[in-house]
Amino acid sequence: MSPRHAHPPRLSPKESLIVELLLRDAELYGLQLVAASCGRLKRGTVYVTLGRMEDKGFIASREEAPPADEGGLPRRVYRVTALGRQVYEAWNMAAAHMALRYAR
Amino acid sequence: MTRPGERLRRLAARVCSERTRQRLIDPAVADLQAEFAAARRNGSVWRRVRILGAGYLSIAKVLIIAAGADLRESATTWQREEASRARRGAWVALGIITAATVLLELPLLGSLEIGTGVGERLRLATYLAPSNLALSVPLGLAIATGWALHGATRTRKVAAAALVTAAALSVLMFVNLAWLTPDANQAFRVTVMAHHDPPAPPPVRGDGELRWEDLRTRLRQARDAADGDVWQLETLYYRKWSMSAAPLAMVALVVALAFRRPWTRVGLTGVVCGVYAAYYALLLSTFPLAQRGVAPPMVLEWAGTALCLAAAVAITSWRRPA
Repeated sequence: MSPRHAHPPRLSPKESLIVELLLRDAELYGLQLVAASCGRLKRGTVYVTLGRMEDKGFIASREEAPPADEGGLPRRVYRVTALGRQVYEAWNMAAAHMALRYAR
Repeated sequence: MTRPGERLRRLAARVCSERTRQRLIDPAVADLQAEFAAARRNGSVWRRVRILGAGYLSIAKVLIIAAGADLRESATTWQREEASRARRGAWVALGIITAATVLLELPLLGSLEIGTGVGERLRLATYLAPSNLALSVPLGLAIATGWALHGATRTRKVAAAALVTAAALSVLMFVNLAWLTPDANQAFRVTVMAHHDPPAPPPVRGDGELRWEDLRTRLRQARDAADGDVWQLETLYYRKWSMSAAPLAMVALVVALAFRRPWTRVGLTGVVCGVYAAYYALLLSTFPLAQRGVAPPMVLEWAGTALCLAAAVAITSWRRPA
């Protein structure tokens, strides 16, 4: 096992929310994620979180073609990878298992 | 017409790595531009203003986080030349700060007409040092940064180290100005009064010798009572803030200048001294200007520091002529 994967992959609450939103809508811009999160994601930090998740391999991104009429930078759109989906499902399963086990 | 976010993007190109800019800054700017274009089509001015405000704030936040992460990543891999430059800069800073602090003390110590020995004079000099550090630290750091970043081989890592050091010293400077300097000044006054013939009782703390919490309380009371001299307390209060930020502002300006074009060591030192002289002159003029009510004390006290910071940002993000 490589040092990078010495620990099982983890999802922070924000990362989990991003994966959840991307699983629901397939592909979203950073700003759309902020809007869809109902205030749980902030536009000042969402791009940093997305960059970190891309490094971990949970999501992938591609640049769209630049807007033809108004110019400007091409927007970056994000989607979940197979690894991101697996980790999300595993975390949800573990959470459900723990909830059942420790529920009174 | 420049699209929104372009200036911050150019700033990012100077302070972040290419990869960071492409992955973190460009998506944020692209989203802002798309959102702004949609608002322009709808024609709502207030919505456009709100989008620009929120967009710029968020990109600035991303920029700060990204620049910090870049710095952390590269901090472990110092080249020999970079380490040597940083060390030289530290020694130059220490030398200038010490020399400036001592020189600033001499006129006051020389003017004291009290019968004290050498040991007592040294103790008095120690009491004066904290207040003089507020002036000598920004100068020493700025000149040292100029020395470390002169010529064509300036590196971003040395600049970042200087900025981090300046930021840390700004925090320490606030502690110094808020608590250490008032206590040291009061100790100086008590010692001097004790050497008077006949000995005088210890003086009560004046406004300049109030610790941070006491100054805030006194300021609140003066505001509540609509005291006519509230401007004096406000001047003292905001000066502590602005002088604390001075090391960071001066170093940021020097870094911006150094990366703008190649300088000789003497040239950059000359510019730094000129900027510092202007900053000091502005600082000296704030008290009479506040007394005449030319502008609120907060504006006057922050003017020098804010101008340095604004100039640093403007120089860094300015488009280089083709």
